[in-house]
Amino acid sequence: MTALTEMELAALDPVIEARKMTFDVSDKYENIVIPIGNAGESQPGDNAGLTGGEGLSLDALMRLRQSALNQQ
Amino acid sequence: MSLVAILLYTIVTLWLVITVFAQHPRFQPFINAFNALHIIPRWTFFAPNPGIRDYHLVIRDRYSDGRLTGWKSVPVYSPRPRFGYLWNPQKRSSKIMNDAVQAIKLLLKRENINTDGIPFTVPYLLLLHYAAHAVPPEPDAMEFQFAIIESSGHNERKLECSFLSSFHGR
Repeated sequence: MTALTEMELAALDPVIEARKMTFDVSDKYENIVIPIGNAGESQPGDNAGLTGGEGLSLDALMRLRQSALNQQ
Repeated sequence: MSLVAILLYTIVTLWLVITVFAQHPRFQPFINAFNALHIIPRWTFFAPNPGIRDYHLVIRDRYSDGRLTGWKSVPVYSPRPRFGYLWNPQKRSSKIMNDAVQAIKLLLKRENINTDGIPFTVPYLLLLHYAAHAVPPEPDAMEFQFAIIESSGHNERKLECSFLSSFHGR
């Protein structure tokens, strides 16, 4: 990961909009990814069956997740 | 020359010859069958398909009236220390961030999670937490979101957005 330049940051909105139009963009590069087991890896059911989360704070998301995992 | 020296020279020479042959796809299946200990290296080492894209984490705030700030880069890499080639534990944090990005991309393909369930997964929460703390909020900003941007190319980088998060409370 590196930083983007100010010019690139200023021109990001069209890039983001393009993402909304074609949701699977860049997935074609998925085959070069070599996931390594560590903190960044997720397992099936990792989201505890929850969906949504729009507008919630980080703390609220984590509380909901913990609560759902405890009930499993 | 002693018998031990002759034996060692023979082993090392054989090792070198096999290593050279192992670089050719034609001989790899045969050599791999006897390479359980992975003592025969390949020239690509740990990256059989070297990455050609770079990842960037960006963040923006939203005010209560709906106005949005511009995108800001989330700093992930700290300056490399002078003796970083010997001791550089800071590299672990950037590695975790990179893995979280990869994990989100993989999770997007999972039918049992998909886009709606992503905000409750570990990599999403990790990136959300990091982005929120690495970039101070704008005064009066109520919510923020982050995005993962991929770049390719060298002189004129081509940018693509591979993930856009929901808005979350500050």
